Order: sequence, then C-alpha cells, then structure tokens
Amino acid sequence: MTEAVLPHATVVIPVLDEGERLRRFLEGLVASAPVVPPVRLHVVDDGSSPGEAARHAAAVEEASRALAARGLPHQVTLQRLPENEGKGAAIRAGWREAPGDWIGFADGDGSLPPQELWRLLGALGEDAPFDALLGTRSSRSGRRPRRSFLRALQGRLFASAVERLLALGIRDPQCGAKMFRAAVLRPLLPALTHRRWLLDVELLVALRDRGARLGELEVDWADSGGSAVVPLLDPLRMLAGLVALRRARPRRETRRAEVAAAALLGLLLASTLAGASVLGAAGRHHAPRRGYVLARPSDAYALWSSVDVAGRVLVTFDRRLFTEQLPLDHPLAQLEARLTDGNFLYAAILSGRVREIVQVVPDEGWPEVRAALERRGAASALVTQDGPRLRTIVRSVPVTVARLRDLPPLAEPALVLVNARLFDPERVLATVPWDVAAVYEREPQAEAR
Amino acid sequence: MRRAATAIVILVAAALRLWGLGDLPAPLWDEWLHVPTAHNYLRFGLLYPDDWWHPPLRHLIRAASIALLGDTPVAYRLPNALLGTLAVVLVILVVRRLGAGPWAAVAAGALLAADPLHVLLSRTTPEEIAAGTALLAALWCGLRALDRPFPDAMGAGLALGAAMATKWYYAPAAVVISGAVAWRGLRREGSLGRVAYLAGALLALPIAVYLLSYLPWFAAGHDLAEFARLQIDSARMVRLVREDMGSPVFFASKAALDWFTRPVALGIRLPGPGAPRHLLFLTAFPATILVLPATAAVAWSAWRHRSLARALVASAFALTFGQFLLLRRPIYVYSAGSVLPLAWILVAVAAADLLALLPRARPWALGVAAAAALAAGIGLFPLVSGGRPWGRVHDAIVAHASVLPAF
Repeated sequence: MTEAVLPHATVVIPVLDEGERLRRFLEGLVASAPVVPPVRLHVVDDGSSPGEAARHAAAVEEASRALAARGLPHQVTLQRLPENEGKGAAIRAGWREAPGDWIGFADGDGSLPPQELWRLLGALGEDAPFDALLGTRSSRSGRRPRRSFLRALQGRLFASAVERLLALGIRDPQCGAKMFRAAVLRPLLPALTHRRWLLDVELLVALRDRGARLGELEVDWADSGGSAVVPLLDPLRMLAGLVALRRARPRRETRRAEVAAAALLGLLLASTLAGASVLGAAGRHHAPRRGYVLARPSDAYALWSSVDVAGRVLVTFDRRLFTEQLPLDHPLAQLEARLTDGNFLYAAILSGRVREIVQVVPDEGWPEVRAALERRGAASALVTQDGPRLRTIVRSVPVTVARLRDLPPLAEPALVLVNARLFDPERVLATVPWDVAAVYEREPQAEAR
Repeated sequence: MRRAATAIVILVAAALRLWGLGDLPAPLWDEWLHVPTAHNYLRFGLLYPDDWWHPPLRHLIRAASIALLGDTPVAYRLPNALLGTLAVVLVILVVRRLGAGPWAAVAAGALLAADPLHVLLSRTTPEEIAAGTALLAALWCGLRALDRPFPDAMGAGLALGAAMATKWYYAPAAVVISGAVAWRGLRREGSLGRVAYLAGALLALPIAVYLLSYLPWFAAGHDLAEFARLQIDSARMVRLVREDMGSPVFFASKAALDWFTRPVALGIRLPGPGAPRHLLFLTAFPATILVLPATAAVAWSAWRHRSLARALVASAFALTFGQFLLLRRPIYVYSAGSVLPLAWILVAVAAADLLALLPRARPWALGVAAAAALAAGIGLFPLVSGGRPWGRVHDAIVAHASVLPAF
C-alpha cells in the first residue's frame, strides 16, 4: 500500500457473502491495474456471516499485498459493518470519509469485468464533460454485456419504470458501476436515505434536479449469478420506492422559480408589445389642421419641416414623383441642398417625416404607372398586388399606388399633397382624413379639366 | 497544458480579428451600406440603405459601437471582431459540453480561430458573425438546458431571439434547439408551471428580443399591424433575391456545396500604390472537405448513442446549410460564415470519436492539428486583412482567385 499518495478516486465495493467472487474480482483488478492514477478500492462488508467476512478480509489482504508487490500506487481497504444494512447503506457508509476527486461504487460480485472498471476510471478527469459517469449495459457501441434473459428483462422493465416515473434520461439506472465528481456528490450525501437497491436512482434524481451533467459509458458485463434480489417482492418494493421518490422529488423551489420566470417573461412580451404601440403613436407628429398652396411639389418638404411633422402617412395625388435616380447611399444633406420635384420624397423619407406613402394616380395615368411598377418588380424590387392596388418598397418605406376609387382606408390623418391640375382638391380633401394639406398647380386646374 | 492551449487559441483568435483593425480606410467592402444604415436606423428607424428585409439588431450593435467609439473604422468593425472572438470561445464550450474532450475543444476553437473566411468576416461588418455567435450562444445554453431547463432555457431563448433578430436563416436551427429543450424539459416534468416557463423562455423571450430590436423602427411611427406587414414583405423579398442583385464576384461560388467540396477564393483588390493588396474570401480548403463526412459521423454517433446533444448540433448545421443547398440560385460566399462555427464543431467531435477508436492514438494529436490550423491561419492573414502578400503560396492563391476592383 502506498499511503503517501492521495487517491484520485475512491471506488466503494459493497459485498455480502460473496464467497470466492470478491477474491476473483480483486485479483482481476490488481492484475489489470494501470500505473496511474492512484485509486482506492474500498470494500465494505455489509454484515456478512463470520466465515464469509473472514474470506473477504483475506481477499482484501491478498490484493493489498499484490499491489504493493507490483509497486502500484492503488490501495485496497476494508470496512466491516456489524450488521447487514442493505447495499445502499453500505455504499453510503463507504462514501462517508472517502477521499479523492471522484467517488463511486462497483458491485463486488465481479459481474463488471475488472478491466471495465479501470476503463471507466480512465475516463474521469478534471476536464471531463460530466459530473457523473454511469456504466451502461448496452451492446450499441460494440460492448458485450452478457445477461440472462430474465435479468435483462427485469432490468429493462425497471429502466422503463424509472424513465416513465422520473424521466432521468438514463438508459441503465441500475448498472452496478457509477462514478461521481466528489465536489458534486458530497453535498448530497446527508440528504440520501435509501438503504437498499434504490440508492442509485435516488442519487440520480438529486443530481438531475441540481443540473449535474450525467455521462454514460457502455461497459461489458457478465452476470455472476446468485442475485440477492427476492423475486416478485423486491421488484414490488422497488416500484413502490420509485413512486415515493417521484412524490418526494424536491422541486418546489424550482417550480416556484419557473412559475415566477414564466410570469416575468409573459410580462416582458406584453410590455414590449404595448411599448411598441406607445412608441409608434409617439413617433407620429401631427400638426394643426391647415391647408397650404405651394408653387411646386418639392416645396412640401420645407412645409413639413416647418410644421415639424414626423412619422406620417403621406397621400400624394399626382402621376409620378420618384423620377430621379439616386445612388443608394446618397446623403440627406446633399438632397436637402438640391431638392427637386423628382427627389424631395426621398428627402422626406430619409428625414423621417414620412413613414408610408400612398400615391394616387389619375385613371388615365394608371396603365403607365402600372407598367413602370411591373418593370421595377421584374428588375429587383418587391411589387405586390393588394386588391386593385400595387405595393412596393422605396428606400425601406412602403408605397401603395392606386387610383382614386381604390384609395385604401386610412386609420389616421395624413399629409396630403395634391396636384390640382390632375385632381379636384375639394373632392380629395373631402375623401381623405388630413391635418396638413398642400396643393400645387392650382391656377391651371380649370384648364386641365 | 490543455488550459494553456485553450488560452493560446483564444488569444490567437483575438489577435487575428483585432490586429490592425482600423488600418484599412472605410468604407471597406459593404461598409458603405452598413454604416449609414446604422446611423439612419438609430435616428429615423430607417432600414436603409442596407437591405431592408433583414432584421435590424446588427444596426443597433453598430450604432452603439459608433456612439461609444466615434465615427471611425474601428468602431464600425469592432463589434464583429469581438463577437468573432466570442464565437471561438463558445465553440470550445460547446465541444466540451458534447463530451468530446478538452483537446477536441481546442481543435474546434483553433479551426474557427484560424478560418480565413471567419477572420475576414470578423474584421469587417457583415451580419453573419453576430448571427452565428448568437446561435452558438443559443446552442450552448440549449445544451445546458437539456440537463437543467431552469434557468438555461432562458439563456437559449435570449440568444435565439438575438440570432433571429440578426438573420432569418437560423429559423430552422432555432426551432430544433427550442424543440429539443422543450421536449426534454417536458419529459422530465409535464407540470403546467414547466409548460408556462418553457413557453416563456423559448417563445415569449425570443419574440420580445426580436420586437425590441425594432424599437427605433416603431419610434418612427409604425404600429404592430405595419410590423406584421413588414415581416410578410421581408419574407417575400428574401425569396426574390436574385443573382443579378449583387456583385458577381461573390456569386462566383455557384452553390453552397462548393464551400465544403472545393477551394473557394474570391474577393476584391484594394486601391492604393505599390504591390496589389487584396481582401480575399478564402475557405479553409482542404480542411473544409472534412465537414460533410464529419456531419454524417456525428449524426451517426448521435443516433447510435441516443445523444440528443449531438443530434442537436448536427441538425442545426444540416438544417442551416441545407437551406443554402436548396437555393435555386448562386450564393454569396460569405453566407458560409453562418455555418462555419457549427462545421468546425462537427469536425472536431468526429475527429475525437475517430481517435477514440484507434488504440494507439493519443488525444493530444488533436492539439497538433490545432497548432497546424493556427499556423495556417496566421500564414493566410495578410490575404484576408488587406496586407501585402508574401511568398509563392500567397501569389498562387491570388492568381487563382476571382478578384474584382474595390467598390
């Protein structure tokens, strides 16, 4: 035994009247032991009969000597419980003072091949992406678990019951080889109560509820026979234990926190929706209702600036107003310095005065405007049909184009801009809700008609 | 050793993304669209002159950077540089969460840290970096939430909202991550409280984040009905985007499959005196040819081991990349930036799995691969950062690249 080296891991091996199986298991462990890291194999005799206890002690002594002879840093120790308390109680007794970064257990009947225990231990490390590594008797990754049909069936039924009742997401909760990160396990030990078969499940539930990461490792397995499980009675006890575990699952705090979080998140969404609506309404700057006569359409930009409207729907009554082609990144300051009838709407958009445009065209101009929009749609822009109207996006602002009879209903007063040569301002202003209305080309309208 | 290697990977990632960030004058590449849009969006809620049909969180991030650091090239580019570095950290965390081991995490981090396309995108202003990093954060929180829904599902929801508020093409991945977290969480406990919590974390929170990213747009006078209409118009416009709407050089990659099957090198020649300098969009060929087999291997391992975590990563990649494959038009090469983090995670995980099958292999072999990746990334740095090319390898890459003058 090498006392000076602190073990990296402690494996508790609970035994009860194992006969020769413990000796064979320990022999195998010693024979296949790697040099590092140091491991403490801690045999806990769960109140075996005196004869069996002596055999266990001899097996431990023999293994300890063999390790020392090979110069390996591992330790084999023995703890004897005066009375049989159950497998779970024996494991917990062994864990109580167990040193090491990792603590776990392995069945002492040798069903787990010794080299498999070393493989399990080899997967542990400070950087391991799990807080518990659980052996799994599965042949999916090429391992060779050998189990009798009845035991395999029993294990499968038990695993299904555990999953159904506790939803742990573990394939083989009863496998007799598990290792736990000591820093995670130690705080849980005082709360563990199960003394018999359900300790594993009780512990896994506690780990899951605390967000521990559970890893699984497929292992070989060979049933050693001589199970201590009493048929029918023990499965029923275990089922009752599972139901009790489900009922006792200490989740109240998490549940309260989740309900509180749900309420807060709902409130967040509701207030975001409400805030968006309030913000939208606040972003629309209206002006006292008044009509203006302009010399030319581009004067509207100065008008809207002077009455300080913003975020508005603009309804224009003309043929085409976006006639000037400008580069995408044309700056607002340059536009404002050189406003024309073909570009002033760009300035109105870029300055935030206008958020949406409805362009009403005279019936006789509709085919030409429609054709122009269809060409635009064929090139690259989004042009959609909205009933008898066409919609497109200009400089990220929606523009609806329609004839007067197809004018969409407006939910708010609009900025109105009328070419009096093409439309009767009185009729237009009676049709559309407005607060700032401007008319241009007023004088020649009679001629136009 | 592994900690030192991880630190080196993160430091190299930061150096490749931050070194000389403001050296090239603005506007560089698409900065002529991205920067004015940040100004316009914050001031007037205008999604212009950048593409109005993409969600606007990136404009807010850039506007915040400009507000903090002034109207300088560094301010334009710093958000992507920092988020690109954060992506490397998240890749390391995700791989560790997948149980592939610390050396696999180092390798995945190194592959992304040194990926020439990711480096270039992190040093300029496209939204692929912010969106990809947000998705990685969602993935990491989602993997944690598989074990512990509270509070990690909220982290996943927050990051998913941010990802969706930056680019829509993560929608399928977002559905898969949310679905997996919800499914696992409800399997554990189907109480009404849990249902409400998961709905709040995975639905209400992302929607709220998405809406919040539109606050300047709402402040421009828009209401919720107009918001709904904008979303519909945006969806229509995304389907309309065509080859002739962008610069042909970026469409030189004819299909997304090219990214992971052959070398792709295209880009722009920068103006200026002396030897020509370039901004080259390079894929990390030949390492890229490992991505698709690695995806299949991780998907297989996820099925074999019933690993929801691995299935989540493989499907997030497959669904995002699958959308690009299904496009019936050539595709911008920089869209590859959106899947690179997931791709390198899959490669590292598959490599770690492969090494575990080889009896004599050592996990630190992945560390050697990581070192090689970092060396290659450092060697290619001048080509992706507008530096002067040096050596025959650089000349050969430039000679074979499709290059246009700067625009």
